[in-house]
Amino acid sequence: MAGLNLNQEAINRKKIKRIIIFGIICILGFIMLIPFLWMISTSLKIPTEVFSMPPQWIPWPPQWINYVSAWAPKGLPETFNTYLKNTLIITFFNTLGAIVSSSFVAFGFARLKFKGRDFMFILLLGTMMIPVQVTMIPQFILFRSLGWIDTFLPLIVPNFFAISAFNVFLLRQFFMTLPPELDEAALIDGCNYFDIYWRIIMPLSWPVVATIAVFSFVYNWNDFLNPLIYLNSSSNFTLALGLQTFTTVYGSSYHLMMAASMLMLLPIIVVFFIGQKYFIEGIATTGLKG
Amino acid sequence: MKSSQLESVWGYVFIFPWILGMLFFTAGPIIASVFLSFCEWDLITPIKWVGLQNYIKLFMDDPRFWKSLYNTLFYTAMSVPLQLVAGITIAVLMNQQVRLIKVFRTIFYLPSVTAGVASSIIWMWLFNPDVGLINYFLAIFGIHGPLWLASEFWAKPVYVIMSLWGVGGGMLVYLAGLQGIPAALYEAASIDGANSFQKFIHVTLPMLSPIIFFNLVILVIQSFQIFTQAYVMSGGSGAPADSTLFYVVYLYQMGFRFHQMGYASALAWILFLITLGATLLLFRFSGWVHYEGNVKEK
Amino acid sequence: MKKILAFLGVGLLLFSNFACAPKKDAKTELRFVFWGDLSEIQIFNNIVAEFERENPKIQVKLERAPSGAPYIEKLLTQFAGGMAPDIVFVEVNNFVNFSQRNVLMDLSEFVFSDESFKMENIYPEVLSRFSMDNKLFVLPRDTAPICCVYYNKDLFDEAGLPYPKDDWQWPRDFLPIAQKLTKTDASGRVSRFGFVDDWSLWDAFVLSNGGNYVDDAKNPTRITLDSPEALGGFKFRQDLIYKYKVMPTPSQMSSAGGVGSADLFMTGKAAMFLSGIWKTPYFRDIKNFDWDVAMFPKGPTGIRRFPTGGSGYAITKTCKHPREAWKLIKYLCGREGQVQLAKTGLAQPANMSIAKSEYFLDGQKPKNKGMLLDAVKYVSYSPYMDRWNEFLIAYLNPALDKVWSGEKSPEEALKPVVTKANKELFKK
Repeated sequence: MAGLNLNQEAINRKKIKRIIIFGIICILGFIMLIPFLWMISTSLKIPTEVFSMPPQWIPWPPQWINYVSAWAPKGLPETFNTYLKNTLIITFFNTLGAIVSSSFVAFGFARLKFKGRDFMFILLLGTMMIPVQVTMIPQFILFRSLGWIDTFLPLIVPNFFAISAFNVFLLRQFFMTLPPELDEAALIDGCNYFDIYWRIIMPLSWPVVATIAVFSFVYNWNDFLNPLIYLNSSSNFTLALGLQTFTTVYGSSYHLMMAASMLMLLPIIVVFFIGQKYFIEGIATTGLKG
Repeated sequence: MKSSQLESVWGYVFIFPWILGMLFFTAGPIIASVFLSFCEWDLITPIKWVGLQNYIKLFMDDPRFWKSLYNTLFYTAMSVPLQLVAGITIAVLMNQQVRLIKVFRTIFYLPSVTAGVASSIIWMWLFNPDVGLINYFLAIFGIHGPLWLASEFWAKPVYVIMSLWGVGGGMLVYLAGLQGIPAALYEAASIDGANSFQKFIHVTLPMLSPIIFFNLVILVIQSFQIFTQAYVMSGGSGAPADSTLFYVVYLYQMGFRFHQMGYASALAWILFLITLGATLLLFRFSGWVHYEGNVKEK
Repeated sequence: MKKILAFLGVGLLLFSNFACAPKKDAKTELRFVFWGDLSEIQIFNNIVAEFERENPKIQVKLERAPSGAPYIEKLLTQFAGGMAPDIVFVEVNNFVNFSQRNVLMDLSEFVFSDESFKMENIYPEVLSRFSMDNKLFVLPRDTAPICCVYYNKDLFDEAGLPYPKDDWQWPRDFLPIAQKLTKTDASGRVSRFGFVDDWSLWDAFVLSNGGNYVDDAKNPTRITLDSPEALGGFKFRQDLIYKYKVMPTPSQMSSAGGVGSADLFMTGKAAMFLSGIWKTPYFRDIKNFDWDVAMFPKGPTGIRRFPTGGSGYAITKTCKHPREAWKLIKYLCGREGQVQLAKTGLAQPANMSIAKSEYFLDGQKPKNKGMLLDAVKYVSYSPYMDRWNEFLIAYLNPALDKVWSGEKSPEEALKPVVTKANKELFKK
């Protein structure tokens, strides 16, 4: 009898703990959501309602038409579908390039010993410490001499050379958490280092590779500065660049700007919501490193 | 060939793409900016060599340099620890098996991808001292909210608060790290009678330390370069009274508003040295970081 | 590694399509960089298409960029990178940074030799802005005196006030009107402001009080914003906020950047609003009250002056086909372009005959738009000073923040920075 009571108590305690945790998550989640709710609300207003006081949280009737006007503004020679296509091409190749090249380089830094490794790693990190504002123009000159201006090449090619120190660093940290015995055993079995990288380390690093993919997708999806500098013809514009049309020197149409931002966000929401199954829950219970 | 030699060769093979990319795309522009820091260049007329003049002026005769450095250090000191703690906390919460967890993860992640003009404008509305939501909430508890972005004292904390809203990126990295902690370690700890808090301290934190270290270094580097939000929200000016004139905002003004790209490059290299110093210190004192095996040890 | 190379190969192949734009031989290509809102982009596209039809030998590559800071970034990167466009769309204030560096072509030769171009149609004040040492650098598109006091007619009616006349003065007429239109609720909070400006438009007060930016706008040797007249103008704007409380404090505005002051007017929370004519299309959406514009009031001694915006087209010195480029900008400034611009309500054409015509004065709101034809005579441009932007951003604005927050008087705040700037910024 006593045993059963104890059990019951433990279960109750667990239940209460869960409810408390759930409560905390709900409150924090709500706080995180407030700016978004405002964004959504603004995106459904008519211009004169945007600043109405007291704030109107649920605009009535909701102006769904704002989303249409934000996506297909009249009078442009190209449509937003063009921008979408361009953005998808750039994002796809950059994500691919980032995964392949960063993981390859990170493996070298994380799991192999060679002379000058630590120095070169600091050098790699160092490239992150120089504000882009001062290297932007020399880089422009470089790509101009290659004849790459107004093409996607300056936006894509560098990504195939592990240009992002962030990605390499993150992957290196993960690779370093894997036990070295894995490599030793594989070497004894006759594997070379490429096999170790491709057949052993990469499959074990699925969550972080997926995380890199998400970061890379989001970064390129939102990037404004690089497309601004390198793309001249509006038929080559990306979404982030094309959407800037709504902010003019002489004031902005906030309702349209918010609608456009929500549209930009939508694919990210979808990718993240569906994708997390693969990169957060994928190997949660298998306990790889035991 | 000895196995250690073989390992070296393979090491260079693996980092070769980076070396190539560095030589092709990064090294040139970086060397160019070092060169420019000893020159005067208005971006339009030819470049003029001026030697150390930019650096001398920077240290001897530029109050806005010191001001922007102070603002940036202040922001970094406030936001990095807070973001670090908030990121871990939220990641641990998001690793629980509770209802709707996928929705919550999405909610916590999204703010970090909404940077830019639209979210800055939303924050300006929220922090409006008179009609903004934040002071409205504070008023409920009888607190008379500050002037936020219009106040020289409160403007910087606004950016710290905004940075907390964007911890979703860090959270994602922690979550990936949490996946890799073997369940067996927790089971063993349970058998030893550890409660959840002890498990967090003795299992989660050490196992997560390489990731925490990563986030720490990245946050420091990024905080030193805070730009976009501050640029949008003060219209690029650093108002009020230069209290949100962060280092890179100032550098940008110099380069693209005042046509002094040489001076801006000098500013960039000073920032580089500061960031590098901070990063090396972090590496020097990274004994608390727990790596499996001995790859890192020298 | 092989895989990486393979991916790269495929990538390069794919994008070489984008890299090589089809070259149409025997055509002269002109690159034209511009910004604009949707209606302006449409006009540019239409006019250029028309131009290409009439000039089949010339192909214009339209390169649209986002307005404001990104536009300047992009343009400067192209200049710095040796890839300057042939034709640039410039704004009256940014233009100085380019013209002073000798990268814009002198257009006067074309103007004098081309008989089909009628220079006398263009506002002389605008032409004078764009010329230096008898050289003309920009063919103006529009002018935009920042003198439009938009007012809410319904609120004037409600308060029993007559609508403002263009010859009003700020101490005698403007202030009492603003005070009467300001409303305070029971708790002492201002629920409606008598007056707001689009951003901190102190220029209008300083200038109409007899102050000046510098001693000589075209050859400045000294900044004169510390003169008693200038300080009086700053003081008046400060008093509007703190003494008379007819204007919002910076914290009552949606903080920095001036976001929302036009919206205060649109929602009836401000009775008068100072800006330029470009707000017209935006305000035409107002459904719940009637509105009009009046010219910015004269100062206490009857001086009438205000700052201005505006824009035009310039040909860069690196342009290889100046003759064709001239043809294009002449066409852009020609009748068709000006008429279409006038019809949008967004801007006042630089061509006087179009500005006077029914295309601009189309009887739509604001009814009193015609005052702009007169207003052009009273505009003041920012000085021809390369480091003027630096003065504003690094010296003046941080000091002014203390004035608008009420911490310091204009004299306390500005005297030291102007003295310092005069010492630093004119060094050769």
